[in-house]
Amino acid sequence: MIKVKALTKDYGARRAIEDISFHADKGEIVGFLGPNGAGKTTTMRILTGYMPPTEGTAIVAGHDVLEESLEVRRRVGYLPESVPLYPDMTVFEYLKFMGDLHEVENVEERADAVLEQVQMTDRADNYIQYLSKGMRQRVGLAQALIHEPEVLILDEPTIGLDPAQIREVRALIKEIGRKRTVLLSTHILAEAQAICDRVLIINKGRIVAEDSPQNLEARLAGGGRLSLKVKAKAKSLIPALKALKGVTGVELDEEGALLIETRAGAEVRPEVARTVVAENCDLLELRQHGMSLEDIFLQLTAETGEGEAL
Amino acid sequence: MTLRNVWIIARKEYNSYFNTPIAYAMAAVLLFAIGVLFAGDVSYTMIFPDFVPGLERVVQIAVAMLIFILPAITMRLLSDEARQGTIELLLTAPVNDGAVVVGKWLGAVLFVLTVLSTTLIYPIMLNGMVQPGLDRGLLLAGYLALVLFTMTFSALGVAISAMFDNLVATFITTIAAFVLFWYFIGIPGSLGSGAVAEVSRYMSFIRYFEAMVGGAIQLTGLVYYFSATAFFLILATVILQSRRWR
Ligand SMILES: Nc1ncnc2c1ncn2[C@@H]1O[C@H](COP(=O)(O)OP(=O)(O)OP(=O)(O)O)[C@@H](O)[C@H]1O
Ligand SMILES: [Mg+2]
Repeated sequence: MIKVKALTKDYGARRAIEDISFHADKGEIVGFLGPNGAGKTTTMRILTGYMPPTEGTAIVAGHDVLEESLEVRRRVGYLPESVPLYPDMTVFEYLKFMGDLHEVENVEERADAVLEQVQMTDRADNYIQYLSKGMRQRVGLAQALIHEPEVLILDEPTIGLDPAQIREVRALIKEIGRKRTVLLSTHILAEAQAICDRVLIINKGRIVAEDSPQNLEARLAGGGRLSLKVKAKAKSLIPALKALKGVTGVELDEEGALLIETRAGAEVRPEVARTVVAENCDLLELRQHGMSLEDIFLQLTAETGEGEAL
Repeated sequence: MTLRNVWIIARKEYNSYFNTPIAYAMAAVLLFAIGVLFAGDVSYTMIFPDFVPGLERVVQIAVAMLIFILPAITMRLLSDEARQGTIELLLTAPVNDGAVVVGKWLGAVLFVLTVLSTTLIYPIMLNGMVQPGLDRGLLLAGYLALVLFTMTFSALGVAISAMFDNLVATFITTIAAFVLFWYFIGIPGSLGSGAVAEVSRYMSFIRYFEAMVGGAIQLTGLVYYFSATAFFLILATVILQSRRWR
C-alpha cells in the first residue's frame, strides 16, 4: 500500500531526508518516530503528493506519487501537522467542501458519519474559529476520513489533545487501521508503542531503526541508566561497580548520586545492590531510568555508525 | 481540469466573501461614491432639463475605485491559503493546480460582479428620469467594459496572490501592478511614435476600455482582454506549481 524506495529530498542546499526506504501494508499501522527536524513531515508531504522528491520513488495505494499524483491523492487521507482549516466555515460546511473536492457522492451522509466517528456531531454547525484545539484536531481527522481513503497519513495526530482525547483518538486510529494502511508520525515513544504495529525510527533524515513495538520495548527495558544513592562513601563504590558485568560506565553527579550506564538487555540491579552491601554502604535509593527517546537515538546512532538501517 | 472542481472551489470562495466584512465595506464604498455622482446628476437635470447625464462617469468612477478595491478582494485568494496552511490540503486533494487557480479566480469575479450589479440601480433610475431615456447600447457597452476589466485584473490579482504568504505584501504588490497595467502601460503610446509606442498602444487596457465606454467595441480589445486573462491565469498556475518545488 505504501512502498518507498530511496527517497531523498533537498530544500535548496539543505538535505531534509536521505535514502528513506520502507513499506506499509494494508491493515498495518506504521509509526514514524523521530525528534524535531528528523524529516517526518517532509516524507509525508512527498507521499501525499504535496511536493516531489529530489530522488527516489514512492508508490502509494498502487500509484506512483510523481507520475500519477491525482490517483494517489484520490486514495489518501491526509492530516497535515498544522491541521489547516478554514476558520470562517462551519464544521459541516468544511467537511462538505473537502468531501466534494474528493468526489464523495453522498457527501452529506459521509459528513455526518465522520462527525460521529470523531464524536463531533453536536458541533456540526459551529464555526471552526470558535473550536478548541482538540476539536480542530478531530475535525482535521474527520476531513482525512471523509472519502474513505485506502491510505491515511497523519502528521502528529494527537499533538495538543488532553489525555482523555488522546486515548479516544488513538482508539479511533487503531480501529481505522484494521482495514486501511495508516502512517502516522509522532515524537512520543509511548504513542508509537501504543498504536503502531511497526515503528520506524527516523533521525536526521535517515531511518535508523525499524522494529515492532515489542522488540523496541525489550530493547528499552534492559538498556539504560540506573541512579544509585548511598548514605556516604559513594565515590569508593565506583571501581567495584565498574567491574560488574553489563555496566558500561559509572559517574558521580553533583548531588552525590551515582549514575550507572548499562548495556542493552543487561539486568544489573541485583548485582548493584549486593555490591553496595558488600562494600558496607547504606543503600538509600536504586532507580531504573527508562531510556528516553534521546537515549535511544544516541544509542542507535552510536550502534550504527553514521546511522545506517539496522 | 474538470469544471466540477472549478465550480466547487469557486462556490466556496464566493460564499466566503459574504462572511467577511471586506465584502460589505467594498459594496458600501462603491455604492456610496456612485450614489454621490448620481445625486449630483439628478440635481443638475432638475436645474437644466435639457441635460442628459452620461453613463460614462458611473463606469469610470467604478473602475477607478476598483483599481484600489479589487486588490483587497483578490489578495486573500491564495495568500490566505498559504498563510493558514490550508493550501496543503488543496494541493493534496485530487484537483489540478489549474482548477484551483481558475476556481479561485471565478469565485472572486462572480463576487465583484454581484456587487457591481447593484450599481445598476442608478442607470435604471436615471433612465426613468430623463427623456427619451438612456442609450441602451451605451449602457451595455459600459458594463461589458467593467466585466472585462474585472475578469482580467482579477486574474492578475490571483497570480500575485500565488506569490506571497503575506496579505500586506500581496495587497501592495497588486495595487502597484494594477496602476502599472492600467495607467502606465499606455503612456509611451500616447507620447510618441515608433515600435515601442505601437506596442504600448496595443497593450493599453485603458485605451480599449474608454473606447468601449464610448460605445466602440473593438474586436482587438476583446481579444486582448481575453488573452491577458488567460495569460495571467496560466501564470498563476505556474507560480502555484512552483511552490511544490521550493
Ligand atoms: N519548506 C522548507 N524549506 C526549507 N527547509 C525545510 C522546509 N521544511 C522543512 N525543512 C527542513 O527539513 C528538515 C526536516 O524537517 P521536517 O519538517 O520534515 O521534520 P519533522 O520530522 O517533521 O520535525 P517536527 O517533529 O519538528 O515536525 C529540517 O531540517 C527542516 O528545517
Ligand atoms: Mg513535522
